[in-house]
Amino acid sequence: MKSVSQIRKRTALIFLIPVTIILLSSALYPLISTLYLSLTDAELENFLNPNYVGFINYIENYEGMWYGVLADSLFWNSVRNTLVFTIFSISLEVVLGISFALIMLIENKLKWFVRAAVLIPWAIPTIVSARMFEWMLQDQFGIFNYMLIGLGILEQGKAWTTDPQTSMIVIIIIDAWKTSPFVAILVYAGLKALPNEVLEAGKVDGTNGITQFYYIIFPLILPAIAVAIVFRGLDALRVFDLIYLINAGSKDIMSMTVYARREMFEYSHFGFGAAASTMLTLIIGVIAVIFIQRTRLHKLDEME
Amino acid sequence: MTKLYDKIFKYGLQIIVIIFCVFPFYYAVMTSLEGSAAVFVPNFFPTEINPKNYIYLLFEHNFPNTILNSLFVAIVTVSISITISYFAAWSLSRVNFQGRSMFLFVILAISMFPQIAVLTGMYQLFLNFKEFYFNIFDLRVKGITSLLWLCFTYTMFNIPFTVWVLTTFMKGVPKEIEEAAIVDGASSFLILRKIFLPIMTPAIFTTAIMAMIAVWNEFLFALTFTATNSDRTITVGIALINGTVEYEVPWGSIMAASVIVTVPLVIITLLLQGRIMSGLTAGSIKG
Repeated sequence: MKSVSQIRKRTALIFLIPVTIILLSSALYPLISTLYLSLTDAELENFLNPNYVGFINYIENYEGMWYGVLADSLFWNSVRNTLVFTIFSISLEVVLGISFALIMLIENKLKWFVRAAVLIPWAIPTIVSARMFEWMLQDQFGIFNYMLIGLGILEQGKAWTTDPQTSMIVIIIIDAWKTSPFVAILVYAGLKALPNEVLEAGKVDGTNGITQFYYIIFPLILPAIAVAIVFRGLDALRVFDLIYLINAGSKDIMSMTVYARREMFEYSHFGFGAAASTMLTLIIGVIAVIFIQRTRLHKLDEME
Repeated sequence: MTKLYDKIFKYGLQIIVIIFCVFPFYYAVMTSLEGSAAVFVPNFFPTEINPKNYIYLLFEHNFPNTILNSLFVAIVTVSISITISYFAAWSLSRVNFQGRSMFLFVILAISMFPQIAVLTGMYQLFLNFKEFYFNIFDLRVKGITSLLWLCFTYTMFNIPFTVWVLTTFMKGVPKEIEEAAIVDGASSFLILRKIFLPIMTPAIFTTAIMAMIAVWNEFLFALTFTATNSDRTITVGIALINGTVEYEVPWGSIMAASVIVTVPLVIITLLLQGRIMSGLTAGSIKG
């Protein structure tokens, strides 16, 4: 007769079958076929049965000229934009997130309102946040320009979202607005998990509080911050909606995902687009592995 | 005296955070309530209340249809992923078997995947699916193809998240509760139905809401797999509201649409505040 634990093990494996099937069919299969398509000449007409062409979508030397994703300056431009976006938006989000988390700890009548307010940007769809900010920053009727003109800082309205010098900054700010709450909630949970005495000792009261925070609390919530950075970082590296919505065509802000998608669905270069997305996956993978190694996040389990 | 300053300082900080988080949304609500002339006069408080933008959306813009589409996709996706994940979460949290942490690691890795990495393959699969689907079904139901496809892709992107969160929640259930039932010889299925379900209902509900918000907000796949007015979801719908002339962006209607799709989310989030916070942390910290 089988023991209870053997039966449980068998049942457990049976319960995992549906998840496995779905992940294999909808994650692994498309991933492999994207890899294969990146080695083909797939375009709109022959998309269902393209020809194998080797690595020419990645790089090819044809009559002395270099072609392919790796030789396309626009691709490297999009890599640079994505990295700039990721580094700046995450730095801003970590700073804002920690500040919000500390403010969320304040115990008084406004406590509930602060915690509620912080969740609002998180719940709002990216498309809506993009549209809201676009409207506030609009050059003629936007409230932001109106305020700046009122304060005498600007003479006339500025088109913040379309100006190549400011559009990246605008995108970073919208992203920070939308996702700082997420970082704040993770850090807040980290702070809440600390023993009460630590929090009492490090309570924010003037400059002294800040040094106390830096030396006592900060090292203790570092794991929570590292987790937030990994999650947000991987999200930021694949950024699409914000950039597509604010200005898809501009090469000053185009991200890797926007670049790859544009090749596929605007130019119908599916093979080339697949090569670009494969490169993107590789780049993100390398960054993720380095970061996780560095922060020893894979050892988080043992720390618990 | 310093105590008073300290108090004021703290209130000040809290008010800054509240304004920072709420103002853009407040401003959208205000704009959406103004008539066409008032929209284009910047101000902090509404000068008039005019339902014109909302009426325009309801009757002219195919907007109700996009809401129904999004609801359909969200409900189908979330029910499937929650059901499947509930059973998987039990296996991954209550039973010791070889390869368990490997399985969890793969799930986490998939959840961090860039969607674009599978998009080309997904699109090819979509064209095949469409062909297969058209051969079987009658033309009348063609409109729903893209929506069904979205359900499939969203289920895939939701499952890593729902499995992960439910597993974390289920780990928190004390062992003793299950042990008594095991001794009585109850099957795993019975245990999941009679013992875990009542305890897990709040957690399942929270996870479902969060998965639903994710589906509701998704844009890249929705943009790629929906092509006609009749099968658009709300995010694509809002992205495509544009004036007839380039310089005549209908900001009032865009803001009204934004408010309509956001208000339910904001209400749910406020009502479930504490639960969503624990769900968000369960999704990332522990595991």
